[in-house]
Amino acid sequence: MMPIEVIEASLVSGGETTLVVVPVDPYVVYCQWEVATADIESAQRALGVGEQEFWPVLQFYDVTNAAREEAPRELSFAVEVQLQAGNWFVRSCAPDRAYRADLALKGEDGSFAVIASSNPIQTPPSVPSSYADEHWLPIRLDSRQPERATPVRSPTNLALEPPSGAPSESAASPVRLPIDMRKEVGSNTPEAPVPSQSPLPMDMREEVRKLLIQLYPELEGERRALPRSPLFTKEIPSECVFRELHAVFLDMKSSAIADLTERNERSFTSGISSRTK
Amino acid sequence: MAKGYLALVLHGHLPFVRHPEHEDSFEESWLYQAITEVYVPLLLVLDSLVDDKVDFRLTFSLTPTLVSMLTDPFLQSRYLQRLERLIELSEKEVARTNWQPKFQALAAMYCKQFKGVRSAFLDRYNGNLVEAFRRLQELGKLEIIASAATHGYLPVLSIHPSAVRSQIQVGVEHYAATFGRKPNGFWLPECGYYPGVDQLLTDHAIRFTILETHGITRAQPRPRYGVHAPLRCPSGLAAFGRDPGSSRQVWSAAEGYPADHDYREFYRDIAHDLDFDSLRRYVHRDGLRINTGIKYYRITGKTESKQVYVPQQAEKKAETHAEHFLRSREGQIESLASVMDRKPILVAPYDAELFGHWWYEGPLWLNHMIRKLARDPSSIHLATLSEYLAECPALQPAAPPMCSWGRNGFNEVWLSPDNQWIYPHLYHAARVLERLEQECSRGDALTLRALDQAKRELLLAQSSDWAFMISTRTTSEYANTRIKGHLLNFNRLSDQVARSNIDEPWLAEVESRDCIFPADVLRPGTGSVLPSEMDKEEDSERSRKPLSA
Repeated sequence: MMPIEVIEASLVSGGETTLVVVPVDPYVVYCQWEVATADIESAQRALGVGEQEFWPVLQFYDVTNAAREEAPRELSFAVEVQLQAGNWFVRSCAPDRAYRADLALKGEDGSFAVIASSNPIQTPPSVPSSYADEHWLPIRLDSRQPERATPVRSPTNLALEPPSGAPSESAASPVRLPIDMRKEVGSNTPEAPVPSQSPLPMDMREEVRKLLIQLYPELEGERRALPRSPLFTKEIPSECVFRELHAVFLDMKSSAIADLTERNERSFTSGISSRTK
Repeated sequence: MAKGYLALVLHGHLPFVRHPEHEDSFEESWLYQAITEVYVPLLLVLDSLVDDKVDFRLTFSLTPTLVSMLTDPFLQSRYLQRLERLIELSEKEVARTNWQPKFQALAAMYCKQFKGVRSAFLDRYNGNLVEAFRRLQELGKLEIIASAATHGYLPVLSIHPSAVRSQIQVGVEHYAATFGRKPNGFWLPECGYYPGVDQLLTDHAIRFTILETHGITRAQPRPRYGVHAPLRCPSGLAAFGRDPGSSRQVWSAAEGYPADHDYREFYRDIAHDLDFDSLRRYVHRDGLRINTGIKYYRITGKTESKQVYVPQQAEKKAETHAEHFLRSREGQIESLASVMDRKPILVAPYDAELFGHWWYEGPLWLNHMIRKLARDPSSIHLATLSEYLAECPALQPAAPPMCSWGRNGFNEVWLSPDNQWIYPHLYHAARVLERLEQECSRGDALTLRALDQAKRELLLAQSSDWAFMISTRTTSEYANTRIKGHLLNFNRLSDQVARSNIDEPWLAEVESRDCIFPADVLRPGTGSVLPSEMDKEEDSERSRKPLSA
């Protein structure tokens, strides 16, 4: 095996000017660049400055709301870097935002010349979304699914056959899913929303709301003014009303929707791993 | 009737560690230990369930690197040599502990266990563990899902979509060649997801994947049922989320079952306890004290003064923990079923190597858990992820964010100040390979061979394992050498292809060393060129020879 130093010396890069940005977490991004000497000289000429009269910066643009890449960009923040370092971990980002970055040379008068532009990135969110928009679409499965060599009896774990004489599940549940299992993925045919399989109404919050409106009609106007929230309790407008409604809510808790996402998020611990080899 | 489902997912993976150039390879011992402690014991448990007509469902991912090693005659043969030495050591231990009955009973237990593994490996499985897994899939008990070619960490490779496409395409083709069908599911290495990878998976007809909890809980829009119902990603891919409760109970080193004081202590191996002279023949040639798998102590507690392992006590504890796990899941399902309009699912993914290697009693626990579930009436049933989707195909559309199951849930393990130097080289090599593949796709057989080998070298350099080892500072020197070695080979090969000046003898040497993925897996639909045809001939030759120790 070749000595490590020899191997390192032999690894060469492309020699092209590039800037790559990769999100590390909701707040940190990794920037890596290579700059051809000719591009530095050209940026210097554009600025009209000498060798010691500029400093390199990474300029970050928040493009979260830009409909298209060509849309005007707003400088979010800039970080001074050392060009020779070749990479930088930038710790000034915000979660759930889209960014683009430029590597630029900045002159003393504030003017700058861009050397390289990055790929667009999206930082991940640090909390669950507050936007709830529930509808349901079928996933398509094809004939590969139950490909079994032996005629294993319908898996007992998922057995849907009722005991003889008992009504079948399809009879018990009048609504069946209109799913075309043979449909190919990528088909342009629009997919119809699929009704629930269960006799339970899909959105129990509506039922709860209706009942509450009957009980507290004066709240209806106030409730309508609030943005939609995934949590029924979060839609309650004030502390005093909260107490009154909370009692009703507790009475109805058996039928109310629990916020399972919030519950999962609270009990989630990242990075539990046995991989220590 | 089940009120909900439990999907156990075991992720079987090891990096490609094959070193014929060394007479004794420390890194190959990772594979040999896993065969003895994990894969054979798990297969024996699953086979015993089939023999006893116990119905069960399990999802298993077997990565292409692991499958390639398990089916490699050279490694199979070396494994048997290693196992013979281990049996010899355990026999010596039985004699050495003659005056210590408690230790001698344990030495005899290991001796019997190793001989049992040898018998199963040779007689029951004929050296081919992958075939045993495939058979369980054919019986409908196991759903094997695919994974990326060399376990590349896709969120960081995503700068070059061609690199991600290549990891997925080779992984899917390798699966099809191995298991004779296309995969429904795909294990994203390190559960590393980023927006857009769903489309690349869907392009390869993958139907589902599994994400860490926050990949689901932080999806947009907010998921109605958290991780207890899969989401439909923008491309149509189903994304299941890891249930935090069932994961922590089994997985957590601090509070999980494996930390119980009655279980076997992983770190007290005789390789570290005995004097070197008595071990010389059984540890690494260079004097490295590699774990033997013979361990006499139980965890005992936070103390250096460990007590002797009592297998009966540990088995009883495994049974208790299996019962506890089931009751906890049933409670979860009962509670979820009361607020959900569909059957909830608990997805519990673990590294397969936890079962038997890190957690010696893991296979026992699994055995007890599955048998209890089959025997006692329960509101919870085992299901594969495909079965769940077949029953509950209506999913909430939502876009999961970038996530992983690594420390802090994102990319920091695989992209840190210690290992960031890898990526400029990987990005550059991906650009070069993409260009060469376009320019030389109609090249002569020798050019295509060199191009295939360049692709193998780049895929091997992309393994997430190397970045992980560097980041966690475990065998980081080896990881550095592997990355640099593969990149050096890549650079030399790509340079030779670009100059149409291929050094055939050297190419043959590299092919024989880094001999993963036949050409028809690397370039599907183009027909095999020399190496894969040669491999086939060699394979058929080997298949006629019985495996022997």
